[in-house]
Amino acid sequence: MHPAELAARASYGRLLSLVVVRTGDLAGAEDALAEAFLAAVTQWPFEGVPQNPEAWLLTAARRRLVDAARRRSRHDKHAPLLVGLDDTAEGDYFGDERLRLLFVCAHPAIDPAVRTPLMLQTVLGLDAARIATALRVAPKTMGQRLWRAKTKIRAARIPFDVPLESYLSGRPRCWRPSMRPMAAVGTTLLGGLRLRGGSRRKRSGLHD
Amino acid sequence: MRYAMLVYETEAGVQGRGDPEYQAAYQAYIKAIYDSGVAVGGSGLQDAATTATTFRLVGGERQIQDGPFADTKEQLAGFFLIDVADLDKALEWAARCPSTAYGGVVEIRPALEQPK
Repeated sequence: MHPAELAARASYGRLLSLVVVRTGDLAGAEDALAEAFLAAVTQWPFEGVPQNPEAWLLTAARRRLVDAARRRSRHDKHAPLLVGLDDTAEGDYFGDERLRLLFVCAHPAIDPAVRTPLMLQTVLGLDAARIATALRVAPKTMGQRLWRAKTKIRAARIPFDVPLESYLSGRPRCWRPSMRPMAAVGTTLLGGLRLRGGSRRKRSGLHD
Repeated sequence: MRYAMLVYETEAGVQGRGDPEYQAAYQAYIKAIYDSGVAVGGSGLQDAATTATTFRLVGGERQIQDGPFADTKEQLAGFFLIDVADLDKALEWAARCPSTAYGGVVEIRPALEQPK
């Protein structure tokens, strides 16, 4: 397996959470991370696999976000925030913001029907088509729901925070309904993947 | 980030605005939301059913009609323009809005970015 693929399976959700947490733009973070993976697939065979593939990918994704922000507009007030983000990925351990990402996916302002798919896609890195099949929803419909949710997260500025105390009274109720179908989908997908061979953990992209 | 908090009330809610408890609650809320610097503007609105007028151009012709644009059970009863960090902060202010205790609802709409 290509080292980039290994990194994707092991760390996709964690990398995405780290990229998105300071911009609040989920779709933009996914694009940046996808471009980073593409760069890895094309560069690593020639330049060698970096010592810390995850840190390399994180830095690459953040650089792309900085570039994109610069390109978009020099009036963009987020651009100064983004500049300088790319030097934080050094070292072996560089954090994990998946909990914040999960809370955004389960935010009460997000359509309940899309909370589980959103978690599956962002935290586990499953693609929309596979989620649609598992949840018996038309792939096009699923794609539209996910797109709409990501647009809302950015446009309405849903914060990437672990909710405050005052809010926790409401949020777990939103959480619970998401967890059961999520577990069911996970089991279905893992079962299907195992039949096709390979280690359950590696093939699913599940880690930790 | 700026959000509009659009407060909708039922017909009964609008009719019950004279209630001293309702008025006291709103007085306190308006003081709190302006004193904290959160509110940028806004106003309560008179009853839509009896006072609203709707204007539109139909084929270039001005058409003026008695009544609100949308004939719904709840009517737009007032609005605040607020400036807060994110949606959760806006939701905290929505939760304190007195109309919600009288069957009203608050719609939170992110404002368009102002042209520089």
